[in-house]
Amino acid sequence: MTPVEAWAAVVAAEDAAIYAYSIAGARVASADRRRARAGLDAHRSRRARALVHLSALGGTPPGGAGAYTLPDNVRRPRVAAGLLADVDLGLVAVYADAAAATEGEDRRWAARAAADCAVSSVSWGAESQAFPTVPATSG
Amino acid sequence: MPARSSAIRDGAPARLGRRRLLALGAIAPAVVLVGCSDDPVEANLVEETPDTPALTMVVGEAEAALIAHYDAVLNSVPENQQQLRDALSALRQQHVEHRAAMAADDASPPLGSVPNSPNIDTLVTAEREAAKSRIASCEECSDPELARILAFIAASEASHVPVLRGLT
Repeated sequence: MTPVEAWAAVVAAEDAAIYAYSIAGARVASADRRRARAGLDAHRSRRARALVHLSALGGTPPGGAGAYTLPDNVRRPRVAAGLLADVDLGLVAVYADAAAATEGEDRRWAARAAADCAVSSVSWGAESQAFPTVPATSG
Repeated sequence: MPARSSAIRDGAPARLGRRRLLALGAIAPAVVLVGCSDDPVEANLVEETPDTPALTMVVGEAEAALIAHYDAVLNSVPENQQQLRDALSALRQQHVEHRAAMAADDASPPLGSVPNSPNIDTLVTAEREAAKSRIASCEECSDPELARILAFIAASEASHVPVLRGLT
């Protein structure tokens, strides 16, 4: 994977995460809404930075899908939290790929982002894992 | 779960073999909601680089130290607190998998020592430091595939912190 491909994948995955947080973040239990808003901000911030990297390399931002398929019952707080857990878990692998495709400070940033996403996934109820990935039964 | 490379286990020069890459690729998920990920395995076959053996040894020893730390804490948890024991054992097992991914020699000594009064708080500190250290190693290493594995391990260890906090 080239750095351009890696950053494009990050932008695409963060686009999806922002969409998920925008919808499901409003559906989680009220006590968790503040955390959902902070998560949305974090995803927007990371997407912006990844886009800067992508543009600097001459890459074209992936066309964000206009809509994503969400679980039918995402209105339920537990389902909404589960979706956010899966979204964050999925991003761990995307950022690990970005770490592999880049070097130096960029790689450090990608690895930190992977860690932040893994922590967030656990906060939404995901099990911690030796190599954090979306369980096959999810999604 | 990544498989150990038998080439490394048998003492041959450390090398991130294709089998291990395939094993890791097998756990790489489709991106939730996106589903446009390229094949991470085919894209990331790499050559061995000079710093790989030293780095995997250091990380393997650090993982051994974390395992010893968990063992010490587990020794202090009464048998009747099975739920706590199970939770700690599950986290310990993840470090066993991390060490295996580094293809560390089982006999290699743990790096550092277990604190005098090991408890969940000392584990929290150790996990946080471990995640930081893995990120630093990830940045330093010249092997992209090892960097990818270290990013996964850093993510795992960072995620142990909130789990441990939930146990106190």
